[in-house]
Amino acid sequence: MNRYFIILLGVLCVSTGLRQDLADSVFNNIADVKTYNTDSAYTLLKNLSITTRKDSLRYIRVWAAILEDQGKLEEAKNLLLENISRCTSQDTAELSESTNNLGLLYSNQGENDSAGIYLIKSLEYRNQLGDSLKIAASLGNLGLLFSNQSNYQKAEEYLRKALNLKLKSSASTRSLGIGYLNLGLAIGNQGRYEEELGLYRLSLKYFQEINDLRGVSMLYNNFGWNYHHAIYNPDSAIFYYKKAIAIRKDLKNILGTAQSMTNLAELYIKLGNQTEALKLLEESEDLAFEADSKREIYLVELNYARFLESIGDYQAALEKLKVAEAYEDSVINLESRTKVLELETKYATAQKEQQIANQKLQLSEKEASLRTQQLQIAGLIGGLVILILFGLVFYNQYRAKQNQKLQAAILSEKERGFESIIIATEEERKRISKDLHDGIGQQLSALKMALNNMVGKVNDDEQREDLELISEQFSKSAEEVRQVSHQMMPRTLMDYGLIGAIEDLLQNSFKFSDIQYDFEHHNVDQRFEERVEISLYRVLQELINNVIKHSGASEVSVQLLKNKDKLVLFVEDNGKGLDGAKTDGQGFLNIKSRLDMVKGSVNYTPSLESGTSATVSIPIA
Amino acid sequence: MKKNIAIVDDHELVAKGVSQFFTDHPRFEVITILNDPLEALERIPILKPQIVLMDLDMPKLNGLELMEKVRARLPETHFVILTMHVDKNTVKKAMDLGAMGYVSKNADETEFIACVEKVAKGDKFYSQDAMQALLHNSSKIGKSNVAKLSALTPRETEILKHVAEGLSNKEIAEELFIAVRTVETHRKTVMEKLQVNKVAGLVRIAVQEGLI
Repeated sequence: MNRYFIILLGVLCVSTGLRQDLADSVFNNIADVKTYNTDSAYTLLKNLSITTRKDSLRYIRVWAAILEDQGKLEEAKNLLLENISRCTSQDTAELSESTNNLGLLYSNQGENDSAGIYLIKSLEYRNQLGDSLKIAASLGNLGLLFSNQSNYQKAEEYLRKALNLKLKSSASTRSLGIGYLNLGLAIGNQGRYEEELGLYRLSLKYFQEINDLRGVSMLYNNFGWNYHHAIYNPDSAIFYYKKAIAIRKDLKNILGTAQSMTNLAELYIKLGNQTEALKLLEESEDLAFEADSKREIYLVELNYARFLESIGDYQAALEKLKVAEAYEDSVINLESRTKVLELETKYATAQKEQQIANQKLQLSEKEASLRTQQLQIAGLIGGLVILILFGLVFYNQYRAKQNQKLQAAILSEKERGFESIIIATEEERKRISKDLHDGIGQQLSALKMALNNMVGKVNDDEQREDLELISEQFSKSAEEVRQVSHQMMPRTLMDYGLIGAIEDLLQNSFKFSDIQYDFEHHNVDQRFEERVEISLYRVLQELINNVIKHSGASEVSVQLLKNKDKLVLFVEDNGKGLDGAKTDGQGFLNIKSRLDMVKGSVNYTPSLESGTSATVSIPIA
Repeated sequence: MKKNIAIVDDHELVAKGVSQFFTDHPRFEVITILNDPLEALERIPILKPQIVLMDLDMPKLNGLELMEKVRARLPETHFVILTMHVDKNTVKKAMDLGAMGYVSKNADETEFIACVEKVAKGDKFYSQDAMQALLHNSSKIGKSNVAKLSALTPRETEILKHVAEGLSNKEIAEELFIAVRTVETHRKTVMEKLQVNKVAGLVRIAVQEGLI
């Protein structure tokens, strides 16, 4: 069991190491962060804005890697398969990475045939690209795959090739450390333990050089294993296991800590020190619960059960198994519970059989029966694990799908709500504008006329002056009402369309300023959808406002063109530019939300004369 | 003999206010106030006033339509538009349909009377703000015959076209599979070659040359 875990760690370690080699620095960083903190990597990745196809392919690959770390293996696998199918023959680099990751994923799942196919594909792509570090990485991965298949000679061959290539092409220290570690393991598995230790020492030197505690702790664990199982030296084994445990605790690597603890526990059992062994197992159990990680608890409990089983305490082993099962997802509980019940009966029967056998047979026979029983239990546990994993994958897929649906629904609901608010606002503006104009505006005009009429009839000079003053105020009020009404909903826009409305807007806006403007248009004589016209008008209103208030410009050019399937508006000034201005102000937000509604866009670039050039595009049907 | 005036406005208050300007006026007399444009359409041909003072924005029948219909039968009737709308399109339309006068309802009495006096003599009178509105300028970019693009390379022409299509430098870079910096350089060269210093200049030339 322990050896298995060491190999598994080796694979994981190399796989993260490879992803670190990704070309682009952004994705590179994320892969880096992922080694230490999956959640942060996920957040970083989500915040990237992906614009090109190439980036989107990379994005999906890194996302798959994160999913894999989160244990969502099926989702990760599907994403990678999809990514590969989206690649064209020009995407050799992407193909090489995605096939590599997929191969590693299969390898982690124990599907060695598929793993081999993809890893070899990746190696072919990488040979085409000629990046020797990547080729070395592929060779290394294939070596590990052979290790998994217990073909250690082949493994040694590939891992050695990989290491030599890495040494020749000045690979990173970490990568060299990993190379020596994996080669050591393959050699150790062929019984050449001294050689193995020598390679480990070299590897240790590299990891220590860059202070890679993960690697160091892995090596200490393997040293411990060697002194424990191969070159029997219990004192050294205990020493190294303890060192590994200390570092892994510091790194909060719960799974690793638990593994080293289990290894040490096993050694203590061998030494007849069951109390110490139990203590360690208990501690690793506590660690897992403390971290509140379902996956770790599940694995630690499983180890604990195996240990208890190996010392013949079936009842306790069953308890631990039940705990492990409780930490799997509830969806699969029904199935697995029946499985556990079955297991329980089988345990009980097995125990009775064992007792009878004990009475009937001699000690040697008793041992033989114990062995069969252990095999049975191992088989059952294996079955259970597969069942649980299957259920877990199914449940995760289901949950992800539900979540996606919910998000989409929320988003469309938000959009709809937002759109209806704007539409309602425009309707209301139209109504108020009409009321102001036709009601209050007209009445003010009428009152003013009536007043003027009176002025003519009054003889008293003083009174006449007062009345004239009042009449002037009426004029101002009427003009103000007209202005407000116009701003709320320009009737020109409704009656004559964009060109007329823009002419009016520009004239009225710049009337009282020193800004010179010109307005040119091309191919826009027709009318457009009302919401497109209003949106474009309002956006221009905001842009003009910004020019007047903030730009300090003396000239503005406005151009409106229709071009195939979109309306394009250029607003360019010669002011002081956007550098100092906040593009997150209310005005800019208004522009953005207006345009969102009609699926339009805006971009601001500095104009050559140091002013600003805003370009607005709105698609038209 | 006094000239006869008819006032058409759906706002009674306004119509009354206007009519009071002419109380005891030596040269003008208000012979009718009509608040309903459809009624006006019937009555004006019968009453045959020399001058019609008329609002534009009226329910059922818009002032300009009313004027068009009346003038089809009585072309010698002088119309003076009295309105709150002083925008280029409306003023221009009124002018095209043959309105002799155009005054904002916010105009003062002097301007108003001056307008009616002028129109009565057969002259046109459009108030200051109406004239200003007519000057609101815009121009259509037309095609030109001068080939300006001969100096540009095909790639530069392509960039010019994309700029006028409203694409950002980044979008152009993606479209043409080149770096953003390259687009910026091309853009600068195009501006130098075409001797323009604004985006507006680029857009104008792109349209004139038929790229858009």
